[in-house]
Amino acid sequence: MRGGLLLLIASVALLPTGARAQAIPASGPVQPALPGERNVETQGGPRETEGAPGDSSSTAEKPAGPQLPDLPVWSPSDFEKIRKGELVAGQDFFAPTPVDPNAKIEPLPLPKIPEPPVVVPVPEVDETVIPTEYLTEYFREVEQTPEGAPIFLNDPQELLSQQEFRDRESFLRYHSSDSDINMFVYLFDERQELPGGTNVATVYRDLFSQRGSAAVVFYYLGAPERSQVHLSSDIQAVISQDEQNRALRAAIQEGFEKSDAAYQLDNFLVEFSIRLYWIERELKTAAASTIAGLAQEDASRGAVEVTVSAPDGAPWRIGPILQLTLLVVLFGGSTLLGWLLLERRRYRFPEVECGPLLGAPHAAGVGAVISFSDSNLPPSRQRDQAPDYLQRM
Amino acid sequence: MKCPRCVQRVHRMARQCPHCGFGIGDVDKVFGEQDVRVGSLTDAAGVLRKSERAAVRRMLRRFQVRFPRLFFAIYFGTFKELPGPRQFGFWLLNRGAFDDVDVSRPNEGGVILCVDVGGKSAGITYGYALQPFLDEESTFRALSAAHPYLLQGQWPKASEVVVGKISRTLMKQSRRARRNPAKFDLRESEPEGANDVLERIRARHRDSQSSTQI
Repeated sequence: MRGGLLLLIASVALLPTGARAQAIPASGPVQPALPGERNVETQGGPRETEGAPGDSSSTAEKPAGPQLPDLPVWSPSDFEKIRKGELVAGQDFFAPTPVDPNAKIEPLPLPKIPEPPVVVPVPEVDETVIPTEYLTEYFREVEQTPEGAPIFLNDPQELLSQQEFRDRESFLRYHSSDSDINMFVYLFDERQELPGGTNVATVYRDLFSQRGSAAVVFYYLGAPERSQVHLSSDIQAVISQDEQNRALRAAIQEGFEKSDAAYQLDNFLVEFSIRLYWIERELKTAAASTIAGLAQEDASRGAVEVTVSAPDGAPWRIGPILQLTLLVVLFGGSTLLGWLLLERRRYRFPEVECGPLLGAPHAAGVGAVISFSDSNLPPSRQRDQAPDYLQRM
Repeated sequence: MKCPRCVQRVHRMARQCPHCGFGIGDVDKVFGEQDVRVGSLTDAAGVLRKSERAAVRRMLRRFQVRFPRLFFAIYFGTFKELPGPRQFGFWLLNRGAFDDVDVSRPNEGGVILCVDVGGKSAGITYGYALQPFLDEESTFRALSAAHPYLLQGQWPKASEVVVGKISRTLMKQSRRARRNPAKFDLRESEPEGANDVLERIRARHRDSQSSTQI
C-alpha cells in the first residue's frame, strides 16, 4: 500500500509544473503529511498552502520567478476516497482545456500578393517568311570543311539538332564519295516560302553551274511533298524530265513512310541517292553509246564521200537495170537497217516494288518445272506440279 | 505466286507458306545461308564443252544487252537427294552473287534456268522485278519449246530456245507495259528499309570476296 502511494507521488512529481497543476483533481488529491508541514483539507477546489496571516517571512521566501499556482496537497480523506474507488487519481488529467469565452482571436496579417508581371506582347512571327539574316547564309558560296570538302547540307536556321545534322551530312558525304553526282541539300521549315525570284534553278545557276554533275535539293522539313530538285545540265541532257520527276516522287513517297520530320529527311535522302545511282548508270551507258554513234557517223561519212564521187564515171543513162539494182540495194539496206534497229532496241520495264515473299530478299517468282525423263510423253504430261516433299527429301 | 516446295498459292506478303510453312530459312539449311559467288553460266554437272560454254555465255550477254536491267543465268547440276530445281532456283537467285553480271542489274531482275541433269527436270525462277511480266504459263511454254532438246541432251540448244522464248515474252510485255503502264503498276509498300536497299545495291556485287565459289 505504502509502495503504491510512493509511486503515485513520484509520478506526479515528475510531471511538468503546469501539467501537475492540472493533473491534481480539484476535488482533492491526497498529500501525505510530511513532518513539519501543515495539511489543510479543502473542498471543491485546489488546495493552497498558505502561510499564517501576517507571516511576512513566508512571503519573502517565495522565489522571484514567474508566479505559479501552488501544488495541491493530499489529505487523508482523499486517500480514503482513492482506496474506495470514489476518486481516480489523474482523472482530470486529460480533461479538455478550459476555453476563455472572452478571448479574442487576432486576425493574421494578410500575405502580400506580388504584383502580376507585365506581359510584353510578342510580335507575331510569319512562319512563311525566312528571316533575312538567314537568307545571306543560305545563298552564299558553299561552305567547306577545314579539309576542303564541301558541306552538302545547308541548314543555317538549325532546324535539325547537331546530332541529326551530323548524321545527314555524313550520309551526304558518303553519297558523294560513292557517286559522281553530288547532292547539295538546302533545308527550310515546313511552311517557309522562298523570296521572289529565288528558286532551285537560280540557286543552281549561281552557285553550282561550275561544279560538275550535281543535284540541288530544296527540302522543307516536315513537308517532303514540297521538295524541289534541280539536276545539272549534263544530267538533264540525258535523263528525261519524266524520269527526274519519277525519282523525286519516289523520294517523297519514301519520306512519307516516317512520321518524324528528321527521319523523313533521312528516308528522302536515301531514296534519292538510290535514284541518282541509277541515273548515273544511265549516264554512263548513254556516254558509251554516244561514242559508238560518233564512230559510226564518221564511218558513214567516209562512205558517202565515195558514193558521191562514183557518178563521175557512171552516168545515169545506164538504164533501168541499174535503177532496179539500186532499188533492190536500197530495199535490202533499209531492211537490214530495220533489223539492226530492232536488234539494238532496248527493253525496259516499269519499276515494280514487290515486298519480300517467304523471307526472300530478291526473288520468289517460281515458274514452271518440267521433267524430260520420258520421250513418249508430251511436255504437258510431264509438267511437275507435285510438292517436293512427295518426291524428295 | 506459288510456294517453291508445296506449289500452293501464297499471298504476296506472306513470310511463310501458309500451307507447308516454307520460308527461305528452309533452303538455307540445305544449301547454306551465305551468299555464293557464281557465274551467269554454271556447269556444275560438266555437260558443256568449252566452245558450248562460250556460245551460251555470248547468248546470255546478248540478253543483257537487250534488257538493260535484267540478266539471265543458267545452272546445270545434279541434285540427287536435294530439293529439286524449283527450290534450288529460288535459293540461288536470293543468295547468288553473279560475278559477270553488272552491279546495275540486281538479282530482282534475274531469271534462272536450273537444269537437273541427273534427275531430268528443269525449272525457271525469276526475281521480284519480273513478277508482273512472267508467270508459270509463260515459263512452261519456254520449257516446252526446249523439251525435245532436253530429251536429247542438247543443252546449248535447249538453253538457246528457253532464253529466246523468255526474251520474246519479255519484249512483248515491255511493249504492253509501255502502252498501258497502269496494268502493270503493282507497287506495294516496301517493308525492307531503304538503307538496306542502298547498301545491298552498292555493296553486294563488290564485297563478295568472302563468299564461296560453287
